[in-house]
Amino acid sequence: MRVPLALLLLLAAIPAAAAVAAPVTVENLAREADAVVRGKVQRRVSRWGEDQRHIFTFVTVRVGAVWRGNAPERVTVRVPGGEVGEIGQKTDAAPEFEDGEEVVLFLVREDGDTFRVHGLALGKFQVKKGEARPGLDRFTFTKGLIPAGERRVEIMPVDELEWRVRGRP
Amino acid sequence: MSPALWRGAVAAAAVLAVSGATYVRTTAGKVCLYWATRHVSYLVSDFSGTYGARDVCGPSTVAATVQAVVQTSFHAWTAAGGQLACTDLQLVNEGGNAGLTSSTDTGYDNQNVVVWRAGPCTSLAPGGATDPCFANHTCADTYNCWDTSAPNHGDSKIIALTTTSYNTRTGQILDADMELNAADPALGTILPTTAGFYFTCGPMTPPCTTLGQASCIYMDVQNTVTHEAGHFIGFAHNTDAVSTMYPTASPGDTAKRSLAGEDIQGVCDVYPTGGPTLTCGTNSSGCGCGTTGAEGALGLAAVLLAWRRRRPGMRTTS
Repeated sequence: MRVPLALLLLLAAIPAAAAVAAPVTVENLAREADAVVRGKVQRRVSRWGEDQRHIFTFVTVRVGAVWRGNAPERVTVRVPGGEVGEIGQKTDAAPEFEDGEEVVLFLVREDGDTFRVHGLALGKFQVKKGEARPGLDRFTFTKGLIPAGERRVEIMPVDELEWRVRGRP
Repeated sequence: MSPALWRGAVAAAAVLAVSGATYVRTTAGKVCLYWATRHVSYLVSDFSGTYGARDVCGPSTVAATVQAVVQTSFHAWTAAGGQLACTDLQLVNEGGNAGLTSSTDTGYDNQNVVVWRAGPCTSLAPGGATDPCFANHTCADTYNCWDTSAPNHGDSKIIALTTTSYNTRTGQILDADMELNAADPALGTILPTTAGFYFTCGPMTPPCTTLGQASCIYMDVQNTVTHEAGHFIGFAHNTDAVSTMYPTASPGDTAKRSLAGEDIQGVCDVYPTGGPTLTCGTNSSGCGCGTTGAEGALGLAAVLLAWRRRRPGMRTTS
């Protein structure tokens, strides 16, 4: 029994997997977005797309603050996936929403007051207790350097997220 | 069980346990997603047609080469080729070694496809950035391209996506499609490209520096498809950097070609040989999800230790 127990003790000291570098920064997402807003999810409606093969969910968000660009008081955000009757559809890496959820969204305008989330789940932060959490923790696509002074998309205080989006205070 | 094998099994279980390694199932409400059949077929789309992706697996690649690599990737999750005896899940390439489907349609149509998107829609749609297909988000399937304006593609930095259609009450998967964001050689040859990725199937070195370069590695097809095949059968990302289902993949990464312990435990728990598929109740009842690799590994270690202690004179049925 000595070998396995010693191995167990040794391995217990090994830390869990570390965080991963991300090439996508908050500043980069903000530059590419038409609008960045903080708001609250009011309702979600899913329906089939025109091709009758893809489901989209239309999320209505009441906007509390526009951090960048222009957006109306209420925006509709189209995201892939959702459930219509007995059929559901999921795209991995797509953002998901809950009613009443407080969020910060990086938006690209589709038409009128309808937007999509820029960068799929990277462009959606859930706000809870002063913390902004991106849609997929630790989600990155390729490793790489980020520009000096910018911060990759990851969990951060919502105040910091705001000043990074608006520009330094 | 020989002492050496026993020690190896305990060590493997311990690694899983103390590293916190865990597999994660894709869920929808209270249900986990799963295939109800153990024989799941798919087709690989043509990558050489009018809107086909070029230079997948290097220049002038024949279909059989790509098919074989895709097949090997899916087989990592199955018993095919003696990979895993603990599952009887079969993921079968309907097109065989040469047959490619001309379909590039994704979504719920009862046909599971692996599609190589051939470049950005803004350059491949006949009408360019103002093509009518952008208005209703049909560019991707129509012209086999990556539509960064579509909610389901969204960004040029994404390597690959799997879209799964399922029964909302049970979680049974009805359709799954894999899209790979391949680069358009017409848009430049220096890596990394600004739109799409150069997928290679060759050796692990040297790194490619130009799009279409032969005998080098960039975005490894087997690495990418093995990961996406995990989504295809109902697994989500996890936080273990050595797992096939870890969400990052850098150019040159080949680690995801082989399943890690928690990946194997996942597929063997959910699709066990001769046993029932591990489901998670229904959306009108409680969820039975919650199996974790860590708990499972600790359990396995405990069982092995107990078995070892009682081995003299013991008979087992496992």
